[in-house]
Amino acid sequence: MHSYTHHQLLLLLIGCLILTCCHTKSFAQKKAKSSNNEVLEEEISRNNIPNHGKLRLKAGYFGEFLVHPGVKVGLEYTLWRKDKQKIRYWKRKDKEYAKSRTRTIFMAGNTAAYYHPNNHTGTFLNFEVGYRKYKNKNKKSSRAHRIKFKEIAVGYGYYRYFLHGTTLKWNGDDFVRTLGTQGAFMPYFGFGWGRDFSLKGKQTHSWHVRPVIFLEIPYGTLGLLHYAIEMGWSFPL
Amino acid sequence: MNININKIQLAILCLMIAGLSLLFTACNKEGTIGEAVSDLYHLEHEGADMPIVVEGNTASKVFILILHGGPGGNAKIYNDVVLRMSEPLEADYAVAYWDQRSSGNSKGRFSPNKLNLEQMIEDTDMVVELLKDQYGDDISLFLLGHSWGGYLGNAYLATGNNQEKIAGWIDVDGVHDFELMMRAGDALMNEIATQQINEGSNQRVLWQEIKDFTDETEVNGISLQQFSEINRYAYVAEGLATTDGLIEIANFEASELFQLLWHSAFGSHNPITEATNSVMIQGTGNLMNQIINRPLGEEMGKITIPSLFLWGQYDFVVPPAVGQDALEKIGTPGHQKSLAIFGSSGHSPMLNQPDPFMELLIKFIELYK
Repeated sequence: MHSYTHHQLLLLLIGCLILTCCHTKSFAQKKAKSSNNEVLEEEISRNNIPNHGKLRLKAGYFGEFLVHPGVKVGLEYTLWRKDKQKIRYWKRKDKEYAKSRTRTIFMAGNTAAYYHPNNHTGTFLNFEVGYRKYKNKNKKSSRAHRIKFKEIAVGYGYYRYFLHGTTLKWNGDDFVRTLGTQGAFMPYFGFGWGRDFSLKGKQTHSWHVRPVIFLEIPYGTLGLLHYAIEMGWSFPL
Repeated sequence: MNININKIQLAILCLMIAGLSLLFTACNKEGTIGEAVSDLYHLEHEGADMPIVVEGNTASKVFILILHGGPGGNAKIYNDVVLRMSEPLEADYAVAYWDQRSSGNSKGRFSPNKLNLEQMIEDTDMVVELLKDQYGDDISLFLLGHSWGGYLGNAYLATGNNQEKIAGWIDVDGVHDFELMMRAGDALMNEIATQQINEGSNQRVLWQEIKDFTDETEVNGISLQQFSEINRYAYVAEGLATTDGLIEIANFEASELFQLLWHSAFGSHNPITEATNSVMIQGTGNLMNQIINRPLGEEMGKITIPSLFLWGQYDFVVPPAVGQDALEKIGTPGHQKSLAIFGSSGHSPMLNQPDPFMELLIKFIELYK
């Protein structure tokens, strides 16, 4: 009688598991394919990520800490966009739903200012390039407007601070007042997330939260790392 | 263009605009004379932008300029954390909290070559001149240096005619000779570690570690690495001495903690700037290498103004032996100089024993203002 070794038994078991999984998946796909075409189109339409144009206005809070006031305004332009839809089977409800995914690459020009009490007011102009991924896989039609997105952005800009209080400089004879300002270059990185309300009634805006870090170079004998939070809306123009 | 904004969004936008209006409303007061003043200056000098906060009773015409520790510490800590020193002082006098170059909230950009003792002395002189320029030549100005601030104060006063601008010198656990500081710190740690082990301290395992370290350590000459090791063990020893009850714990009332949190969240603090500044000044190494190899020794004899040395008995960082040496070395007449050692204090007696500390400090200022 032929006897199996432990290794052969283990391989057999893994093979059985893979076959079972493949069968389950093909069953689900078959179920999806068997549905009515009209329903599918409706599903795709419902969860589609709409395109409101390439240009968006962004405005919101920007500050070193959430307790310090600040504002950031910018214009964003979509350079590239790719949409993809898939039909998925919702086993529990025995129905299909559409899963939409859109990827975009964008560039933006921004200006911002924030206020750090009794310290300084920081301002900057920057240019950024980013990648954003939208997802909409809501199964319930009542939640179809909840398009989520994640984004990363890198940028470069010019930063300038204005010191608070009275800034004085010795000119050799006397102390004279100066503006108390210095400029620096500003590499920038941000990772954010948000929601697009494009499908909610007539609204076309989205909100986002983006923690960012940026460098002030040169500073002291090296450079200074800043961290900040951005929160705001964007509207298609 | 299709923009729909609901009421909540409109309200938030209004708040943002209100915030924006604050952005450029920095106060522009100068030399305010009053009993509860808070003036903010920045001194722009040799690439550095250094904040100076003047708070308290400027009408008294008596000013105390704080030289903070470090190098790379910050002055605001003496205002926000050491409230039992800052509040009584500000009630009667004006206190100037100055963040030194590459310290605290200082900004600017400069070459690493600017991080040296001569530049620090020049900066100190600029701050002194600025205060006299803004509040009048007739102000009576005291220097209060803590730890590294003690070294800077001693070096400043021993340079040129600087001491003529100063009414009195208060040295709190300040260093003037790093080799002496390390040797005395090593000896004090060994002595107290042995004492605590023999008395059966609950921390005897850690005390034993300190004893082993100090038994093995021999201070001959100066090295930055040995200085860092002794300094690290000194702070560990201070923590153990506090746990064993040798040093009084700095108690904070709820209102003090609230004020500290409030200042941290809404005030001028920026922990990232403070940490970066500290890393820059310590990491560059220029200043540290210079000062640890430059005992002020004979230069101390040039100091002839009234001087008060305030020390913690269990200061393992800058031991009382350093204060005793400074007292003996300065040229101030005997009746105008004194050393007080606080029996239940470590490196910061103003925190550990604020009441006797303040009593001596105010008595000294009243005598020489």
